[in-house]
Amino acid sequence: MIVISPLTWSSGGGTLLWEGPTLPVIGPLDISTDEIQIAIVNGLRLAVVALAFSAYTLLVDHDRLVSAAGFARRSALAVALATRLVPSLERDAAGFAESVRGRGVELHGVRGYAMLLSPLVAGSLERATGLAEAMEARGFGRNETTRAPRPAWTLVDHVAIGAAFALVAVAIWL
Amino acid sequence: MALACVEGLSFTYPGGVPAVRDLTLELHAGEVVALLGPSGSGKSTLLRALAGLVPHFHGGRFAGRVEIGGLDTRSHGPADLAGIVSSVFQDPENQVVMTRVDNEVAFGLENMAVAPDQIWAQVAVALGEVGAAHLTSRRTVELSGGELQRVCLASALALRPQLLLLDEPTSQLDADGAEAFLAAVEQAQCAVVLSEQRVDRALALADRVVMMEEGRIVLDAPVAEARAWLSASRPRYAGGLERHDPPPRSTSGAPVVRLDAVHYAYGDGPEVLGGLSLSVRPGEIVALEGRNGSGKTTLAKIAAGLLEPDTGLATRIGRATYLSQDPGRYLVRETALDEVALGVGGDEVRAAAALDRFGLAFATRRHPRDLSSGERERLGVAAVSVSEPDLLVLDEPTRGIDPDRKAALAAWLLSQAEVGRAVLVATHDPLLPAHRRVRLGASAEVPVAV
Repeated sequence: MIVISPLTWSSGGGTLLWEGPTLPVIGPLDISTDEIQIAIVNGLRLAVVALAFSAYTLLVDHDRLVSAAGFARRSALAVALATRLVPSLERDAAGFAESVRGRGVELHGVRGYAMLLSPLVAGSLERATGLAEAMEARGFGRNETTRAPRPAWTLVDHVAIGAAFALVAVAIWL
Repeated sequence: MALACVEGLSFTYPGGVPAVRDLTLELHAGEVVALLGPSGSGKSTLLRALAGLVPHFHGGRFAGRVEIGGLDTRSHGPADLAGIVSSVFQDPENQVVMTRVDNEVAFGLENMAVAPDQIWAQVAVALGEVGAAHLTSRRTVELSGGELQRVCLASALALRPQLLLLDEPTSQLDADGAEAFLAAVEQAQCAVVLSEQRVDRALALADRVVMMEEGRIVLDAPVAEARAWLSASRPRYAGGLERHDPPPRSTSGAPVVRLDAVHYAYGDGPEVLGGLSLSVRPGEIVALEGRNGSGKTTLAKIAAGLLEPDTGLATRIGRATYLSQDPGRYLVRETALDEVALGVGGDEVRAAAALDRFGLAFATRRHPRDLSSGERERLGVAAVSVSEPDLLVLDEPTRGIDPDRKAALAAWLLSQAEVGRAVLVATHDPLLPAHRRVRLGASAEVPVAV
């Protein structure tokens, strides 16, 4: 994003650092200080989203999140199951690549690996359907449900939640 | 009164041919029924109908009547039946909802509105019944396939069902995992319908046998009577599969693959292979045997060139291809023809011939995902053999396939050796023919068949 954005988007402001040819569809290629600044900010935003997602995947106990969700349990479960998709996709991609290499066909470059995208999406849908079937067979969707008692929140949990809200507030203020 | 009553059941999936036709049977409390039949014979559809998943989850044309515990499945869906019927499906990874074992078992109990103060006690009992009490606080992603499937069984048993439906639950497991799973099934205190390709094991558990072919029930009898019928009419299902090892090959001729003092470890993990040596000559079938974790798959991948040894030498003459143990990996193209043609640079003539050889000519223009599990397995074999490699490496090719297909695969392996192809098979199956058997985990090669 930081490399491509200044070239392909023009802010019209700042100091012009470089001016290149005009390309069809994309338009004039140029780099200005404003464009670099905006590209860095956007790149950092993307990195923050990726880091937040990684932290959620690695640090959050999905089961406790679902059990703490109260009335929104189905939505929390959907989020937890969706995040589990990432490691499944990694495993599937490695398996597909191995099956292709096992036939004596090497995967080269972006185009080579692009052929795995469609089967990965189809595999995810197939897995989701299988999981939905298994969940329904285990009574998911019945009107009356209960919750297994979980350990109550400790002081540390409350302090952590408070600190997290404080961090968010500071980030918004900044 | 019967626990389950099926009358004149016929069902056709959308756009398909009838999966089951005019089925009638009754299931009684406490009996164990072995449900046998080749891949695609309608076993899974019958089990889905007993769970109410057909027609509620899988749309299609439904005729006849299925009653479970007095509830008609046309008006009661799977969630309504969940307190009476529990199911365990083929692939454990597609059934697990939660990330911790105890929470996974509790999931169904919560759905069934079990009193909160009883849930953890029932979770502990269910895990204990399947020999998985030690897994209680483990994360589900850390478990082996066999352990995970036992957790799925515990999740099903925790609901205290009257009827337990098991749809080829060991087809994705290695031999050790499958044995532990079936031992746990023996402890179930309810009626069980077990669809299983390990026929001997299923018959040992069963009181009664139902066999299906082409969507119809061709046998419904007590186990002793069924054994006699199977021996006379379907000998491969009655333990009639015998190993016919070919005579040992002459040891002349350069090996197609030669491994010398090979060591391998995954990352910083423990060493999987510690100085192993092996060679396979043209026209020779070598079976790699050994317990789960003994390094069979790793060695097979090194022989095929998919992994490089950490130390030691791996030398190959000619081309090698590798069949993964998961037929679901041969689904990367849009048609079965393209899937097979991938291995021969898009040569559709050779691909069509290979499909024909494995009885898949009808599937040429079908998407590989539209094929049944047995058809996918054959597609995988066609995909790796179409290029006529010098070395064929097959990883657990008999896992989850029916006795007829296993016999056909054994005959095909021998035909490959006869045309001079070297074959290396990693397998738990003692019935596959081989010139030599190498047991991993032992101190050296153990030539059993010579």
